[in-house]
Amino acid sequence: MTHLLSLRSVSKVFTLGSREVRAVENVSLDVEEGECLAIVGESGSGKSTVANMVLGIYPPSEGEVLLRGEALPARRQLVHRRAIQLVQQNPMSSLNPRRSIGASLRLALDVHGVGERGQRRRRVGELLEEVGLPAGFAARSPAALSGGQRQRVAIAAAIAARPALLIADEPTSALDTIVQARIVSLLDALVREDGMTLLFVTHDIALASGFADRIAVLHEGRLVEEGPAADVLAAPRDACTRTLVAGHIGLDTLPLIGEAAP
Amino acid sequence: MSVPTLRIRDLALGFRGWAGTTEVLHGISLHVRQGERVALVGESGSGKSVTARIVLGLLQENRSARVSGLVEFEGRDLSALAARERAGLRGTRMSMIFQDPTSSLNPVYTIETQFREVLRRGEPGIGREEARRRAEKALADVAISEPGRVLSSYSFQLSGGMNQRVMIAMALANEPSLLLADEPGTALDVTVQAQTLRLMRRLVEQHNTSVLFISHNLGVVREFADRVYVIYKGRIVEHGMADDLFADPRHPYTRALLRAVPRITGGGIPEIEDVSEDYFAPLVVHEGCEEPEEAK
Repeated sequence: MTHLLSLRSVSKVFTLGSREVRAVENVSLDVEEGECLAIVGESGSGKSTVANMVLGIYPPSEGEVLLRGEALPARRQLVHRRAIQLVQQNPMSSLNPRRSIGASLRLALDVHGVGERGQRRRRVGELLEEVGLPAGFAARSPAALSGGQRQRVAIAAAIAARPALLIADEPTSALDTIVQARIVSLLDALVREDGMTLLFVTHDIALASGFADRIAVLHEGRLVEEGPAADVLAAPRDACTRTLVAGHIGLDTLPLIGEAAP
Repeated sequence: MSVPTLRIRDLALGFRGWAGTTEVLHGISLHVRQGERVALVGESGSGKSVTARIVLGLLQENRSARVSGLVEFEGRDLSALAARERAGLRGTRMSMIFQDPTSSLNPVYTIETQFREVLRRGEPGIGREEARRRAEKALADVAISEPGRVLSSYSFQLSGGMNQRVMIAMALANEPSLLLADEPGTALDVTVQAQTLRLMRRLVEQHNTSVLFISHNLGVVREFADRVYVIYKGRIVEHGMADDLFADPRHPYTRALLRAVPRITGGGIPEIEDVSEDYFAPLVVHEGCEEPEEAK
């Protein structure tokens, strides 16, 4: 069976003056249709670089990215871009402040030629309702929406073209705890009920453990551990994963106090 | 009982705008006793950071801000102090750690220059050599292994975790009696955040510093605070000792907030209301946590 998305020995080297930074080193991953794979790591671990290579923002230096068994070209066509969509971290900056919510969503539909032209206005309303917002929000400007509502609009725009794969890069890092829980449950419903495939990039291993099917842990550009979420959390095999789990400050961990200072 | 280090009573804040006044704080009361670590927890826009800024006296300089209510520091009404006296307290008797360490340090001066400036606030006549010696010691206290190298560096040459430790060392350099910490770990990685908090907790325990700790992260608050105030849309909704509040959250908003925290043990995704009438339920105060009476 072909995987929906495969990364085959993918590396990325950035050149900064005379210095070379190996941001991603020989990463191979498969994502199956209809699952949620979480990519977890600290800042600088290369998780966003992986997401950007999948999106085609820049090509890998080595290795290849395959969608349904077909290698994706360095220069993506519209059809490739339609297949892989992104939800960004900061909903305050990802929407055009001069354009109404409806116009932003309409643009997504127009660019990708979704449905009949005459149907698109109604489709905008349906999209808003799919992400739990009233259809009337189409007339509002982004400034009139809260962070959580804007992130819902960003999700609506990303699913407008019915992508095969949705990438969410830290979609809740800029949001409060309660709003975060609501956005995550929306993404979860997209996966469980609508069969969306989700690549969820986060630094919060607890958040990933809540709903991802599988977790892949990156450290300094290398894939250090991969497996079903429950297994990775219950028995992390790699030292880096253990550090991430131990560093998690939550309500269900033992207090840190009393341990030796670093 | 001794006078609390910080006492706030019926503090209200509004911002005048084109469309009338936006009320931000609706009369909140809280106190921090000597050596106590008190957390103010809430979502963005709940009014927690403005509270810290009012205590420092930064917001009163904003012409559109309307502040009313009482803020007492070591028994003295801050609004009755002259502007110069008040400015004299900042950086000496009370200091603040901000959320983003990299943007709170000046990129065009070395850490040493900025550290000396901080030390001069407490001791105007301090010499260059003496300042460097004290700065090195303060940096060693925050577990920086090469204080000399850090002092001759610029903030952009240091990591975020390192900058935050520099900020903590600066904030504690003049032995303040009150430390205001506004989300001190949020901009850091989880592992670095845990180390930084542990360090901060050890230092304030050693110096018997009172801390008002502002955060939206309940896990962090449970680690750090003795007593907790939960704030929602400019009103305190629950107040209690940290252990009691986490074991027995009584206000609907606190319960929702607790349920929303991701658990590392899994357990799926909670069903939580975004906004609910219940969140506006009246204040719940746990036993033994009443606000102190008038200071003598």
